[in-house]
Amino acid sequence: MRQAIHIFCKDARHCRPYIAVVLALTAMSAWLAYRQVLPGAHNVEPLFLSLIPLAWWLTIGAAVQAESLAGDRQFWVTRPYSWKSLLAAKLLFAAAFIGLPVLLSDCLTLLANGFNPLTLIPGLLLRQAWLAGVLGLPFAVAALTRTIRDLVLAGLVFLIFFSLEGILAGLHLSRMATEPAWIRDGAPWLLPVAGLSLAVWQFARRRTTLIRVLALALAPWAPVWTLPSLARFTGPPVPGEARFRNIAVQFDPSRGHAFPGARGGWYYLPVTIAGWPNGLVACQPPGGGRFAKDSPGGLYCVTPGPGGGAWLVLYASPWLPAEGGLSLPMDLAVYEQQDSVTLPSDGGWVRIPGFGDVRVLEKRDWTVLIARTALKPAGPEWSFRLGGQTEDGWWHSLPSDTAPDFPTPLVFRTSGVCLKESGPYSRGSLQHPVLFTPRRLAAVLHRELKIAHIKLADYQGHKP
Amino acid sequence: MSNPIATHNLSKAFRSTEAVRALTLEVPEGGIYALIGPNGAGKTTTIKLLMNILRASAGSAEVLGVDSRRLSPREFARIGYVSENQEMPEWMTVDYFLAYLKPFYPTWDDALAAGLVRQFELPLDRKLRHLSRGMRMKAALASSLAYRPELVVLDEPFTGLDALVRDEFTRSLLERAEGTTILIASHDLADIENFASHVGYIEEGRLRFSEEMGTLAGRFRQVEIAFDAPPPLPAHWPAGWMRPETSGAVLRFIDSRFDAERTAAELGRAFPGARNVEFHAMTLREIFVALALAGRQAKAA
Repeated sequence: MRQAIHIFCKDARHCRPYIAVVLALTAMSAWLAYRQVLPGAHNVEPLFLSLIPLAWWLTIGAAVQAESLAGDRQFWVTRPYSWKSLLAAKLLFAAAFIGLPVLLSDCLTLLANGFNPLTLIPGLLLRQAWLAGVLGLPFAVAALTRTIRDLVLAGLVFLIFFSLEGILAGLHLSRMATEPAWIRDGAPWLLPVAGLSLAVWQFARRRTTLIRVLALALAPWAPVWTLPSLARFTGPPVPGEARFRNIAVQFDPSRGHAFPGARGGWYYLPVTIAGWPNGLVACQPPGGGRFAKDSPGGLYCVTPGPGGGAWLVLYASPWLPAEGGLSLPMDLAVYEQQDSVTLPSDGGWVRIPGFGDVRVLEKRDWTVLIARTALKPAGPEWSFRLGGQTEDGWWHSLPSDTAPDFPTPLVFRTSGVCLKESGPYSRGSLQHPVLFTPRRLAAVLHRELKIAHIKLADYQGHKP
Repeated sequence: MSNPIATHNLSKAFRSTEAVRALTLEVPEGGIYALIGPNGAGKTTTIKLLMNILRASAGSAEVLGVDSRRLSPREFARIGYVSENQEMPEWMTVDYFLAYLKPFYPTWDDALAAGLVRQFELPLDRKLRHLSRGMRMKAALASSLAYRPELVVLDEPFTGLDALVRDEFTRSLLERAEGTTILIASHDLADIENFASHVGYIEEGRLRFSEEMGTLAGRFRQVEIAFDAPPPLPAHWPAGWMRPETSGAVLRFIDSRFDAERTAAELGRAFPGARNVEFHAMTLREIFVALALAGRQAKAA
């Protein structure tokens, strides 16, 4: 360990300019994240967002390549370095100058906004795990390249590769809908774990050529890499699966084919969720779907439809069989209602323990209800009752709700709904008190919809 | 103790190119072993195999009694390695470089390090990237001698150095590493000749010979035979006679297996009409050139 710290101190000295930039960007992003939770604040500038991963990429690269693992001319390879100490030093560097600042930034932003970080430790740790997964790529690439120039070139290749991700992801993920569950479950972890394993192997053995070949073989998997659902980790412990054992998703062709508002390019399969216990209110894949990325509906998800009944919305992928059997695994989130709170109309924030902050903000032309949560998906976790009608929070997300979790160090999820506005869409005057009901995630259930035989064309949405 | 360096049929191929072929050599303890050979002969590859920088395709090597593929920090703490094309941490000052390396070596001697810095006149506050080539080599050598290594491995340490720096470098090496086993690969044969105890000649990846310097110097002779008229070359040319040249009535060649009595007898049989025979001792450089040219001719043939 002493050798690891010795190498770490040397790297810290060598990489001072990089560290200064990373710390400055982290501090600035924390400030922007703090400002972003204010109503009407803009999202963090895209240019700024691209600077943070760039700074991480170069900083990790500079630290790892201070003792370059590729090549045969480095002074250190004939010095009494222990590969474990060397690896530990580089990991310590990443933790100290990237992970810790992000953690501190998260905690300070939480505190500044009235959240106690100690109550959000699982979410904070998950963000650190995400960060480790994100940093695993430059770490592995730096371990396989010799110079910063090589590292930057590799970064550009990845940038081009990931810019095609939209297309590739659609192809891969829709194809994966018909693949075994273990592949889909393992996919989010495959790239970071495999990348870090290769990096560790490279540190231990320095088999650069062989490991480069293996790394290239991993590249096609890159588009299936998604961050694991936040809700899985920030929710409370599952209070016994027994309560939910009977919940099952079944295909229900008797409901007919017509889903109102169906979009072209998607299939809408009528399903029934059987065995639903009383008092549980929502059934929605956390994050919008198992493989959901940018699309709010995901590549497929179960969603309540107008007029009752649930629908499974499935992307019309060319890899899906036109007719025949179909097996679709999915995650179902089960939420329990908490005690309701009547919101004051004075515009002040109301702290709801275990949930976050809520307020009704009245302006001249509009009145908006804002729910603000920390390290939680805000959408499905609340509903409100106004004028005798209950509405779910997930239909009402502000733009920031769809912002990526990384690279922006956003700590907060904000969602809201316009309660009153002037003009053609006016809901009229706000005469009733707003009753706010938070929900608690009780469990995330893994289920599989199995259809013995279906002709998918019968359930296809059509362009209006 | 076994020899600090011993290889057995050590081989290394880069795709279809065989850089080192079944190389078997031993470097005795306390010896100064000069590995010589033309460019591309496989000297640097051999040293990189010994230092576990490259992996052997076949065969094995032992360094300080350990399989070279298993060299650990414990062995590297007893080895000093300096190479002409080593990538150094350019951003470090000489002072920081030495201070950084010190904790890696339990046997680091501050007084010795300070002495080396003084002897080499190293500017402590200057970054390595701002040092001349000679100064960089001196810094590398200082950092590799300050912990009194049992084995010093030098790969072309004199390349690009002027005569004065070379002399300083060699003197310091011999003074500070007394009793240390040294393996040195170099083209600078004149310098090596003065201090090497053993020499190995490598060509096209093969070790042509490996022996003590005194033995080598004793068995190579340039033979000059004067005749009354231009001589005809004998039909049977002994294997140890190399590079025959005639100039008028004088025949010159190199005998690589010189033995006064045996050579005289062979000459008597081969050249009964010889008027005068002279034997000249050869320098290491002359031996090297003769071997290299003979190898090139054999390859062309």
